[in-house]
This record gives sequence, C-alpha cells and structure tokens, in this order.
Amino acid sequence: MSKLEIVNLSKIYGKGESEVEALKGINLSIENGKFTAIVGPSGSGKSTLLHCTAGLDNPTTGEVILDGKNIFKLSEEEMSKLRRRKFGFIFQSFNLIPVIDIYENITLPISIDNKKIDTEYISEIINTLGLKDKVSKFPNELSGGQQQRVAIARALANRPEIIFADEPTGNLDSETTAEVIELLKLSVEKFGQTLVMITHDENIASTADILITIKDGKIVKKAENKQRKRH
Amino acid sequence: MNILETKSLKKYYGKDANLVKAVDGIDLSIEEGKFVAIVGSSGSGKTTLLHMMGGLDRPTEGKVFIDNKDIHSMNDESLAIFRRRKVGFVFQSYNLIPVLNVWENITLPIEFDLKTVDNEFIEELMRTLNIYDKKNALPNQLSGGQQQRVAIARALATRPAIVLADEPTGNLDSKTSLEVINLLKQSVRKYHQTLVMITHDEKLAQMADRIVRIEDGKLLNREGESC
Amino acid sequence: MLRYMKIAWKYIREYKKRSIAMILSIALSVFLVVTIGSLAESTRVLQVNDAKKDSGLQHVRYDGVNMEQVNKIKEYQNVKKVANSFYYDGWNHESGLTVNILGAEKNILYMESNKMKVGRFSTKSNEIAVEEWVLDRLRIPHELNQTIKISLAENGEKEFKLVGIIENNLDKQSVGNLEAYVAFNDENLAGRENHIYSFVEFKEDLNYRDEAKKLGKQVGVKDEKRIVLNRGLLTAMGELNAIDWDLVKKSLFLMVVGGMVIYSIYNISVLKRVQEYGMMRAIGSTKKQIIYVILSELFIVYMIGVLLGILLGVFFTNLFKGSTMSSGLFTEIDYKLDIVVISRFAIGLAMLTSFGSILLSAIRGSILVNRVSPVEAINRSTQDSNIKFKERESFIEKVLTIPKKVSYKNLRRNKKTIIFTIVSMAVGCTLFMVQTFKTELWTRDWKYRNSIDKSQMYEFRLNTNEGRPMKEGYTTEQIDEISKLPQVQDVSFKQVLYSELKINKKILNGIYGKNYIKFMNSENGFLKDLGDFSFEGVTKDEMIIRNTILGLSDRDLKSLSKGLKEGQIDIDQMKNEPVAVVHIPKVNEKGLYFDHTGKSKSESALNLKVGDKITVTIPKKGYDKGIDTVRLLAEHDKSQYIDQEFTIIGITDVLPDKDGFHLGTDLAPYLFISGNMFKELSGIDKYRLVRVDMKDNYTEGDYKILKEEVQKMSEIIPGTLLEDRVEYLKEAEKSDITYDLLKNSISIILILISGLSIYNNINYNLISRIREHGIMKAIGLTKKQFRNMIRFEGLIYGIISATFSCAIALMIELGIFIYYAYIFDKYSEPVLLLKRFFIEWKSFLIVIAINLSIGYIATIGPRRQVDKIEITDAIRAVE
Repeated sequence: MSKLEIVNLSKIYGKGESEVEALKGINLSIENGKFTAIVGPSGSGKSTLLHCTAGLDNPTTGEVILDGKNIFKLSEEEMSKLRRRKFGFIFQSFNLIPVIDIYENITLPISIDNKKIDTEYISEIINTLGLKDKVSKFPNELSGGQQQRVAIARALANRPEIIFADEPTGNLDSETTAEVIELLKLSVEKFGQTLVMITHDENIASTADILITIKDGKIVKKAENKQRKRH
Repeated sequence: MNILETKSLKKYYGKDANLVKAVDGIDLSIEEGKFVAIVGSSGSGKTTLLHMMGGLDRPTEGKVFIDNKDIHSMNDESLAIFRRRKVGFVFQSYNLIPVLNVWENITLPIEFDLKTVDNEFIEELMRTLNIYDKKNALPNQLSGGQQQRVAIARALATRPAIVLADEPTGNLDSKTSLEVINLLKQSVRKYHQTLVMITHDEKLAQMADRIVRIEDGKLLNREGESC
Repeated sequence: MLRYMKIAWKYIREYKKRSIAMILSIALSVFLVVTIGSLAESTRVLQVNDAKKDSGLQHVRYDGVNMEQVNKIKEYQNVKKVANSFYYDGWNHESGLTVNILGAEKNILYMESNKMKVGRFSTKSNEIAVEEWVLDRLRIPHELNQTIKISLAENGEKEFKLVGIIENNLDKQSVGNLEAYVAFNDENLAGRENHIYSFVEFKEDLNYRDEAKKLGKQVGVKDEKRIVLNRGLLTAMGELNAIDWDLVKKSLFLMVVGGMVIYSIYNISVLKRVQEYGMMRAIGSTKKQIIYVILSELFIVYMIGVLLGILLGVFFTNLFKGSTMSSGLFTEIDYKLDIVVISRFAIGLAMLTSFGSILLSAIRGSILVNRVSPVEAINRSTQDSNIKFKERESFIEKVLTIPKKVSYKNLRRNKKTIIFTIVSMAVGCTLFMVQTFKTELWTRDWKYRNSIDKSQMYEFRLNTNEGRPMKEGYTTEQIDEISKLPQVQDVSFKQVLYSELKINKKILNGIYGKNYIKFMNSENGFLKDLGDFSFEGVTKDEMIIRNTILGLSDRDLKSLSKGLKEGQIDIDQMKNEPVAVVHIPKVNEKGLYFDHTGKSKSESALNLKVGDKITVTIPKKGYDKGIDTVRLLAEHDKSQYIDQEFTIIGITDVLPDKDGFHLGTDLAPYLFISGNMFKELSGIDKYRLVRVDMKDNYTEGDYKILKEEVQKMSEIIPGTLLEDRVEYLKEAEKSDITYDLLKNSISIILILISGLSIYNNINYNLISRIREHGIMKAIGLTKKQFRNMIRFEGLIYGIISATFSCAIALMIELGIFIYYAYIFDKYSEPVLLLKRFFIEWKSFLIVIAINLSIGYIATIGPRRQVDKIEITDAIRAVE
C-alpha cells in the first residue's frame, strides 16, 4: 500500500507575463519504506515537487494523500504534528537557528514536541555524522559542510516515517557523502522509513529503489531498481 | 609564467585550546592559462585558501603574489580595484544581490569599474550559460542552479586574468555541470585566463590540467603525504 | 552618484517593509522634536506673557531721570517703545482711601499690558483717567467728561475732568492698589523734573542686558541701582544670562531622545546588509563606493521621513492650537489654546538631529563593513556584530522551553537596539511619571497649606488702615452679618496689634542678625516716615525692635498648629497663659530678605527657641486713648507703655496672614497669640483683618452682589484696604491649566512616540526573522507555539521597558522630594511644607500597562504575516 499519493499536482508561480508553471499535473505514488530518488535538470521543478509533497508549499491544484487523507485539508494543529513526528526535512541550504547551539538545533523537533530526548540515539547520530566535538558550538562557527551535517542530524533526530531530502550532500566531499548516504539508508532500513531525495549525484541515484526523472514540470521516467540488494 | 603564487600561507582562528589551523603553511604556484582543481574533504581549508588567494581574506602569515604583486601589502582601495579587474569570483552561495535582476547582477562589477558594458559579449555569455531568457528575473525567482549560472556569468563578465571558483557546479546536475566546466575551460583558453576551481567531484577534477589536494590545511604530494 | 542612487532606490523598493520601518523611524523622531519643541516654545510664550502681565513689558526701567535724558532715550535707535511716568500727587478721598496719582504717557498702559475701556488717556493738564474698579471703589459713576474735585496731598484742591476709563489691572485690583493717571506735561511735571521713571522696551533679538547698560551710559544714568532690569521678564525670555540655558537643556534633551528613536535604523538598515556589502566588496567595489551606496539609501529615506515628520508635526500642532478647552477649578472656562506656536527652531533642530543620527549610522556602518575583509563581512551574522555566546547558560535559559529560549536569545543578541529603544521609551514614561508626581506633590502641599489657614484662596480681604486708631476694627456682629450672605462660603477674622519687642542682643544670630538690624534701619528697610526700626533698650544688652501681633480664633489656632516647625500648640494653654507662636524672618548674610540671584543661604535673624521668653512692649495706654499709632511707637514715652512677657511655645515657618501696611511689615517678627490673650494684653476686641471666601461655582450675579456688600463693609471704617482677587484668580487659573496641559501633552507625546518607536522596532525585528520562523514551522512548530513564542518576546520587551521606566522614575521622584524637602533653602519660607513622600500609583500603573500593551500589540502584525505566508516562501524570503 502506498504511504504517499500525489494526485494531479500543479504549481504555478507569478502572474501574467512572468508566470511560471513549475509543476504540470504530477501523479505519483511514493512507496512505503523505500528510497525514492528524484533527478532532473536544474530548474525542472524537483524542489517544488518535494516541497509540495512535504506540505511545505501549497499547490495551485492537486492533492497529496497521506494514509487516505489529503494533507492540505488537515487542520493547522494536525499539520504541525505531522511535521514534528512523521516528517523529517533536509533542505538545500542549511537553515539552522543561529541563536541556539548545535545540540539544541539537532533536538529542536523533539523539544518543540515537548517529548523526552533519547540521548543514546541522538549521540549515535551525532557520532556517525562526525559532530561530536561540535555540539556546543553555534552555527556560524561551523563550515558549510558541517552545517549540512547538522541539518541531516536534525532530520533524523525525531525518527520520522518519511524523510524528505533536497540535495543533502550537495556540499559534501565524496567520503562524507558516502558516509551520510550510508547512515540514511541504514536508518531507513532499520526503522522502516521512507526516503525521498532529490539529487544530481548519479552514484547516489543509482543506489535508490525507485528513480523518478523530472523535466519541465512533468515526470518523464520512473524506473525501479530491481538489482538493489537489501539486507 | 606563474600568474599566482603563495608563500607559507597560513590562516589561524581562535587561540590556545580553541586554535584552528585552517591553512597551515601552503606554498603553491599556478601557471598562467592553466585550469587547476583543488580537491579536499569538507573542512580541509580549501575555501579559506581560495579566499586568501583572491584577496578576500587576510592571511595570518605568508604572502600571495598575483602577477608578481604582493596583494596583501596593497591598501584596501588599490586591492579592491586590482581584484575588480584581475579576479573573477564564484562563491559557494549567497552570490547575487537580491534587489538587482540577472542582467544587473552580471554587469555589476563593470558598473563599479565605471566602464561601459559590452552588451554583445554579455549576451553571448548569458546564452552560453542558458540564462539569457531570465535576464530580467530577480534572484529569488530563479532556482539554485540558475542562480549559480548567473554567478558564473558575472565572474566571467569582466574578463579577469584569474577566475576563482568555489564548488561552482555544486547545485547543478551532471549534464549542466559538464557544460559549465567546458564553458569555463573554453573561456579560459580563449582569453588566456587562469581557472582555479574547488570541487569534491573527482570526475570534474579530472578535467583540469592539474589537481592539487589539500588536507588539514596542508597540501598533499602525489603520494598523499603532507608537504 | 546617480548609479548609487539607482541601486539604493532598488533596495528601498524591494525591501518595502524595511524601508517603511526606516522612514517611520525618522518621521517619528522628527514629529517628536517638532511637536514637543513647539509645545515647549508655547510654554515659553505663555511664561513670557505672564511675566509681561506681572512685571510689565519693559526690559529696563531708568529711575529718576529728567526730560533731557528722556528725549535722548526716545532717540536711541534700538528702542522700540518708551513710557514715562512720575509721581504727581496723592488723592485723599473723602472715604479715607488714598489714590496715587501718576503723570504718565499713554504708553504706560502698553507697558502694563492694559488698554483703555472707554474714552481716552489724559493729555491736557486738567485731565484724569482712572481704572474702572477704582471708580467703583470711590463710588464715582462711570460718566465721561464729568468734573471731579480732587483733594491733593501737596497741591490742595483741584478739579479734573474724567476723560477716560481704563480696563481693570487685575494685579492692582487684587492688592487694592488705587492709582489714577494725569497728563505727562510740563505743567504737571513742575517740581518733579528729576524724578521721572522711564520704561524702555528694546527692539527684538538684541542682548537686552547690554542694551540697557549702553543706553543708561549714553543717557548719563550713573548710579547702577537706578538702571532696573525687568528680571521677571528677562528670565522668562531666557535673556537674563549670556546663554539661554533653558533652551540649551531642552534642545539637548530633544536631540538625545530624537536621536535614540532613530538609532534603531542603524540596525535595521546597515547592520542587516553587511553581508551584501561584503559581497559587493568581494566583486570589486571600493570602500568609498560602499559608503556611497549606504549614504544614498539613507539619504533618500531621510528626505521622505523628514518631510513626513514635519508635515505631521505641523498638522498636529495646528490641530492642538485650534482646540478649545473647558475645565476649571472654580468655574467653567472655555477658551482657545491660541498660545500654541509652531517653532521654526524646532523644525530646524529636528532636521539636524535626524540628519546627524543617520550620518552617524552611515559612518558606523561604513566603518564596520570596510574594517573587515570581504569574506568576514559575508560570513558575519546579520544581526548584532558582537555576539558573545557565554559558555555557561544563564539560569533563565535553562528554564525556558526551546521556542521561548530562541526568543530570549534573540533579544540578548540585539542588546544595543533594545537598550536604545527602551531608553527612549523610558524617557517618555519617566517624564510623564515625574511630572505627575511633581504636580501631585505641589498640589498636596498646596492643600496642606490651605488647611493651615483655610482661606488661602480667599476672594476678598479687608485690612483696616494703619492710620486708624489701634482700637478700631470690625465687630463680631458685623462679621456675622457678612458671613450670613448666601454668596459667602467662609469668613476668617484676625486681630492686629502693632507692637515692639524687648530683646537681648545675644539672640541676634551672628552676622545674619547684625546685618538684619542694619538693613532694617536703612532707607530700604523699615519706612523712615514711621520712625526707626530698632531702639536702644534700658541696658546695654537690650534692644527694642518693631513687631506685629496677631490674635487668632480657636479655629485659626488649630490650623496654625499644623504649620509649626518646632513646638506644639495647646489651645487651652494659649487661651489662658501668655504663650505665643513666633515667626522669625529669614535673611541672608547681608541681612536681606530677598536675594534675586537666589544663590545665598538664608537663616533666621534671631536665635529663638521653644521655651524661650520674650518681652512684648506696647503703648497700651496710648492705644486706649486713641492717640496716633505711629507717634506712639516712634516715641518711647514710658508712661504709655506696658510690658508683657510671653513664653514661646512654637516657631512657625509660615505666615498664615499678615497686615498689609508698613507698620505691619513681615520683615519684622510676628507673634501669634489667642484671641483671649490678645484681649487681655491690649484690651481690644475688634478685628482688623477679615477674609471673605466666595462660594464655589459662583455666578456673575453672585460676584456682583458680594462685591457690593464687601465694599459697603469696607466703607464702614475709612481708608480700609480692600483686595478683590476674583478676576485675578480666574486669569491665574487659566494660565495654570494651560501650563499643565502643555506639560502633560509633552510627556504624552513623548510616550506615544517612544511607544510607536518600540512598536516599530519589535515589529521589524520579528518580520526580519521570517526565514527562521519558516524553518521552525517546517520542523513542526504549531501556530499556538509560535504565537506564544512571539508574544513572549514582545512581553519581555514590555516588562524590561516598564521596569526600567518605573525604577528610574522612582529614583528621580525620591531625589526631587529630598531636594525640595531638605536641601533647598534659597527662600526664606520652606518651599515644601508637607514633607511626606508618596508613590503616585496611577501613573506607574498607566506606564506599566502601556509598555506591556505595546509589547503585546507589536507582535500581532508579524504573527499574522508569518501565519499567512507559505513556509517555503518564508524560507526564501528576501527580508
């Protein structure tokens, strides 16, 4: 059964002459527990698709159905809960809160939810991402790549059901990239999470279960990677 | 001829227990007209090195020579003008002035230099980078990749002697990445420019004339040892 | 320059919210300075007008000049107007009243801020012009051109024609000073050619002190004491000292507050853009070009903001000017605030202040951007430049939930802006609270003084003439009769005895006492016509000095007990024993009662303490026989005198009442005893001082009736001094109300502007963090949590601001209280009688409420905005 259904999703920006049709009636099912990669040329609408699917942006028309319910019809309260407990986001630019330290940034979704922090699990994430000696620092003291790792840690911290990632390893070197992808995939498999990632890195894309290609706001190809071995 | 040279270049931050040696004594010579790729892991100091090479950041110790001129001994005014004419810079992010449109952003350094804009040349540049049809758009109306291409166009607009690029294709797909690197290479050859590019993409690095590897603030020799 | 303007203009258009915040900031500051400056100047105008009414329009008066000098004065180029007068003669009216007849030019009315009511001023030798109330007092009908037979003190009987009736001079009316005017010509001047008083008003915008001296010298007035500056007027104009300190203080104050309101612009505009400016430098702009861009933007914003501010300020001030006020303590008063002016000086000051602030911001910003390398500028955080993150969390942070913690930390990060906005708000609030406190302090003191002698605000006062025999006065029956009138609220009555004291020279207080006696014996002290002030006693150590004794009713004794500095009153004791309360004059080292420089300390002339004994000596037998009082007191015919020893049981700083004639001067000590004792001592049971208090909310009809009754009463004993203070009080109240209104308006405007400024800053601060808010929402912050977070931030602003304001205000209020209650000793009477500190709760509550409300309200706009916007748009937002 599909966790996430995207039905006839369209998004138009701007008005009149400068009107841009970023998404043109997209229909897509995101399969539960699988790693879906979205690829496409720059400006093809990948980010827009991801944002709408994750409920961060309102489409012009269309629906995103989660567990039988259109997420855009949820109350604001339910939507917020969704973001805290079911979704994890990794943006293209790091988007950390500058005034709190790294540890607080990572545990932010849990704090907002007023839930207790599983310190062991958080430590594990921090160690894996190589951030152990940076937990008391502040975002402006970290390099770009380090900030990105913090963002990833935050997305994993609340053990969401679905992780949305927009070019998460764009600014990381190959070694760290490999490590991060490995961690993401392990997490996904261990906790049965669904991972939807935009990437232009062919290596990463090749490891995905499902590969979606977007061009000019339309899905042009959907391929299943049956060769992928699962543990 | 060495267009760019660094001698014992160091950049340290903080002190005592918090001392961070971002760049720890680098001697580097770059020949005119070459395409050099700088490769290193995240946090290895490559961006800091590039900034100092371009005169954007002052070294803690050491010197940088561009065209045999010790750039950090210049006063700020002269350095700014020097940089304006000799160096084109492509940053990792936050490249564009948000209130100016694409055309204005690209021609900004020329405006600062109080020179007239060669409209044909700029148009050609924009078409090659496939952003000409967006020339009146504001940065926040462009995708990340498009913004990056605008930044590259701006760096090339003044036909500088040296182009310093920090992960210029970071947000671009492989096809566009290749296109952009090829364009850069072409430009560099055509105008006898020098291109120094930071990348972590091995494939792109292989397109360069020379690869320089950096780790923990120091250069590695071919055997992967610090030197 | 144009290309920088272009870039600057694009910034202004794109970052609309920010531009509006900046323009608003400037406009608010300009509005503040213009409006408050205008109101302050209006206050000054009011003070000057009052001073003109009180002490005349002249800048200087030359005493004892002759016609030649007068003509020279008139020729002097810097003179605007001159009025000359001289004492012609005394008019001894059959009612016993004496009218001072002055020979004067018509301009004298101008100098008195007065004018003709009917007819014209005297120009020919037999013409006379009189004020309306004087005619009433003399029972002369208001008929022009009637012939009046006048009995002159020196020149015998003469006939005059009444050619004009002058409007009432309220000052003179309130003290019963009867005057009339005859022509200023050679015939009338005969014999007094060297005794002319010349009142001079100079042209505008001159240094009056210098001009007065110059003219005096030119005209040949050698004695400096005869060049009398109008200190009252000059002080009100700020012209008395070389530098108008009052204006300087007010201007500095306005500049500081106005500047603070704008300071936040620095953060809003320059600081936030450090990153972009760094980027510009990175792609090759020089430092100078950066400065041009910064200046261009600020300049455009400045022009718009200043224009807006001035327009609003002028508009508002005009609105103010046209409004009518109706309120009044005693009657309903309806009048226009036409005193309000628009100050050009304030407009200039506003433009200067805001320009200066902006320039400072631009310079600071340029220094910041250019001091660091481009990369450091790019990486620099967009808010405060010096973020110091402590390693240890403060206690508060541990307790807060994360969203609130983010708010709290953002506040800490913006320390400078917060401090400036809060300080500017605190200034307004503090001023408001301190002013309210001061008003209440003086009101309470006034009420207290009133309770010491109930009829402080009396409307009429009758004072038996010193020339009448001591045993004359009003009977209790006559007083009862007037009390019974429906228009009368209260009547108070006192007995008066002119007497002398036998004192031991030892009780003279050192240099103060010695010089006091010297002064009183000089021509400026006790009136020479009445004899000496002090006399040799029987022994070498003894001295006799003049004094006055008042006999008080039980009620008045009770009131007196409230005002005692030392000692206590036991009414029974006072009624049955020879005990007295004494008032000792306070003088400075030179023995003078009043020093206009206000710099010298004053002390009691005599060292008298509670328990001391003092001997009163009066010519009782002479008084019984009705012999002339003046003679009796000047000669010491022992056969007429008796002595009586009194014990002092109280010392008072306040004179609840005093005799208005020379013999009863308050420069001499006053003794207060009970009515009983008075009768025993002097054998007199009549009253020479009567105060009549008209009822509240009186009508014109009431006034007319009571005026007539009181005048009739005054005519029972010839020569009685009658004070009619009704119109005078009304005018004074009008003035007071206007002052209060102006002062309160100033502080209210200050609060409003500061409040708006805080609102502007909080608002902008929140809106500019829209990206952060988007992130938190993306992570799952609910609207409710977000609302709480923002509200928390706003409220903290409000709480800090309120606390700060209240704390500062409290300190200042305490300081003011202590100063006036214990330190200020420049006047001979204590300036603050009721030495009880209090907290003006109302004003504190108002300030707290305002601050908290603003803190809360400022968050509504941003909250709504973030609620509406899409998360991704928020994250991508330019501002």
